[in-house]
Amino acid sequence: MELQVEQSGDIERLTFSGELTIQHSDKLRVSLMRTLDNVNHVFINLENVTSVDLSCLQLLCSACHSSQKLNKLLTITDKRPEIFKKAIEDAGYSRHIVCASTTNKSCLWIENGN
Amino acid sequence: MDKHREAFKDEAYELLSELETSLLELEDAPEDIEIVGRVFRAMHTIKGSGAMFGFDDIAAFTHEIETVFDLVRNGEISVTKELIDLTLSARDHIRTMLDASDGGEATNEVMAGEIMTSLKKLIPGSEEKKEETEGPAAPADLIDEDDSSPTGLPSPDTQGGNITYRIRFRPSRDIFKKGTNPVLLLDELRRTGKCKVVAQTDAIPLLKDFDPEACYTYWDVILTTRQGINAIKDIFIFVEDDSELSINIIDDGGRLDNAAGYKRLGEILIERGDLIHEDLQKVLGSQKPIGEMLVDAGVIDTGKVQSALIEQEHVSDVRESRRKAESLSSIRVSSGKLDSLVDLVGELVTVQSRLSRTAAYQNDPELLSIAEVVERLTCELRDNTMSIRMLPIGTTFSKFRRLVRTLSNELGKEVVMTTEGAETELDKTVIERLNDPLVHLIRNSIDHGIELPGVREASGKPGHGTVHLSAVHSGANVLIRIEDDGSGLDAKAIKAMALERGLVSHDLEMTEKEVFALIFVPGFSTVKNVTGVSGRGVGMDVVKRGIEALRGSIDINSKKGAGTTITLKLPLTLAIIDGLLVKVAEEFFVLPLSIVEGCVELSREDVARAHGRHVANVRGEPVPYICLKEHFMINSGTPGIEQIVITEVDGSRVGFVVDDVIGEHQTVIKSLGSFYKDVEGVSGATIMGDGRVALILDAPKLLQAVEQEEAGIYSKNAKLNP
Repeated sequence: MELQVEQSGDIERLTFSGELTIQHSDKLRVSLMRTLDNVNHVFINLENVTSVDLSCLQLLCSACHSSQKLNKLLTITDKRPEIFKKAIEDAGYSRHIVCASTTNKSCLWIENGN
Repeated sequence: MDKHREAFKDEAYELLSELETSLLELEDAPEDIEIVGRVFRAMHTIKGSGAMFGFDDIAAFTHEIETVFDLVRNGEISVTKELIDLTLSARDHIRTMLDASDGGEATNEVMAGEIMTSLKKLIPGSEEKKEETEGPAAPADLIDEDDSSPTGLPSPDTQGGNITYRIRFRPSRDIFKKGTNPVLLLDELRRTGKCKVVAQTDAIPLLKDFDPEACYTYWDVILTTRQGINAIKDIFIFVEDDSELSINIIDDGGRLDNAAGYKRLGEILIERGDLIHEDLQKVLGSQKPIGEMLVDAGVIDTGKVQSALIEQEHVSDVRESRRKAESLSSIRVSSGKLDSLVDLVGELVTVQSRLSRTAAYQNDPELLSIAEVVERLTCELRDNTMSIRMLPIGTTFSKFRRLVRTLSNELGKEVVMTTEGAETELDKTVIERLNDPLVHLIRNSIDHGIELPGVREASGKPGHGTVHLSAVHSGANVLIRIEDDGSGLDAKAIKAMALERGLVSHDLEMTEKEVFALIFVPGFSTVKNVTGVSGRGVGMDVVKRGIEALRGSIDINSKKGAGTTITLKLPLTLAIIDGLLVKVAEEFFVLPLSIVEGCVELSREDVARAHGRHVANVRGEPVPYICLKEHFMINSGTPGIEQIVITEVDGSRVGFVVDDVIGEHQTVIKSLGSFYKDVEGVSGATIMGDGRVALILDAPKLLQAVEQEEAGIYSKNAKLNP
């Protein structure tokens, strides 16, 4: 997994590429925690990821909950690769309704819902 | 309600017929669990529907047999001849109960009680079984009631239909560490049927508490599949010890449907244990959708609501698809309505013929165009209507298994019945009227044909005899053969008996086939001992008349010691045929188009060259012909050039000389009525477009009559004088 970080004021953009799998999930968790501590709005770009597994989907979900708790915003950019969409579908993560804990009506698992 | 009761009875009769077939198959293959399942399902449906429509006695009686077969399914009771005998008797009793509800013969309750007692004796541990093995039973008030499931739901593993399951799978937190990817298990579930998966994410902690190697997700799955519950459990076999797995049936292929559709969202969530009733009541006052209200009230997680919504949608879809499939695949229509439809189509064909004729006469282009369209549509309507009436003969064949079994037992013979071409279709009326002739023929084969096992073995045959029923299409006819490997017909004995009765003279030379045909003479029998099965000589002439009434023919081939084959040739339909309309003087006749090969001219010179013999040279081959004008004694002049319609009759080419060939004609067959029933060579009549009547010729009979006439034994009474 490769990670590129771009910051612009209160916004940070995390661009991941390569495998987003359990082997890299701790690194992903640390990056997300650090970014949520630093800025109010986190953009995640997954356009170049080649593989996504359940552990990373859980982690992104956890990051979303954490951002809500901190009253911050975490969004995934619109250019979602097919591999990511398929991982969401296979794991049953697709949603039509946002979570009860969501304060800003956004959800990572609703396409175009973030 | 009466309509529903009638529908139940129709269905029950069909199920009883299937039950009989399945039981006889089960006797041959006692280990076949699929057949056991069929028997069980037939009884389960009779019981369930019977109770629903007020046939409580039938439901109660059937329940007992169903219980026994449930044990057979579970391997607790083996399939034995005794079990088959008892179940067949029980099946007959249910039929009598159905008949009795219509005012038929009263049921024999003593016999029903005996069947039940005998069936219960087969159940291991039952009081009846104990009584049989240990002596008298305990007092009745100490005997436990049958505790089988009141719903009688079949185990989905043997059910065969689509079942919808609600599955909750919560793997252990350390499933990743054990090298298992739970998503692959979900993929495997998806491969078993129509599946919707919702991940529940409410257990996922915040990032600070998140263990990257832990699995926090659990799943709700709604699965519609033909697989049984055990097959689903097998998917989780390697993780089940440290996972939570619950599987519930939420739709069992139709039995749980209710008129109001599927459950409401709140009901589903409460049933799943995801919501308590009090919380539901708290939020019900608002006007918002229930799912939204529940999420807003913070009493439930989104994933749970989404999962319940998906379940609601999935099951509704499954039920809607099933309802559509059921309504599209078939509807039940009374045969009376079908007969009326055929009659009306017949009338329509006649009127269409009249319209075409009028249009041709008036030569009006617009009218001609309309007449052409009406002709095409009528033709399609006729073919469709006829196809609705076609049924596979297999249903009739399977009925005879029981007959063969009963007769074999009665006569101490071992007979196996085999069939071929059960899918061959015939007109409904033909099939219905074929039953009695076939019963006679099979009875004769078993009683007179098949020898006792000892006799067979002494002559080098296997101890068990075979009766083979087959059906095959042959042009516009179906050939049904009844073959046995019994003793065959004894031509000498038949002729001797015919001589003794004065049916034939000593000096008459007869072919073997002609001798065999003597068995169709009323009252003819060579059997010395009349049995309860046959031998009174009242069967074969009835068979012949029955087959001929269907415009069919019957043929016998037999070899002494090797067996007999009886071939019935029957028309595909009795209502409408394609015919060739011909004219002799002012009279019209129709020949079935299926036997017509072509037409050739017959000039005066051709007749002169044959020196008075009725033989024409057709493309270098001599073809005998029958002059219809002579045969029917029609007095009129002969045209210079006549037409010969060449036909194939019983494998030979025969010509019929007519004045004119008019052309093809949609022939709606009308019977001639009892007054003309003895007229040979004419099988019916049809009404033409102008209202005139044309006689439909029975070519084989005409040929036979002419042959007999030439042999000098033809009765002039049979001739028709117009």
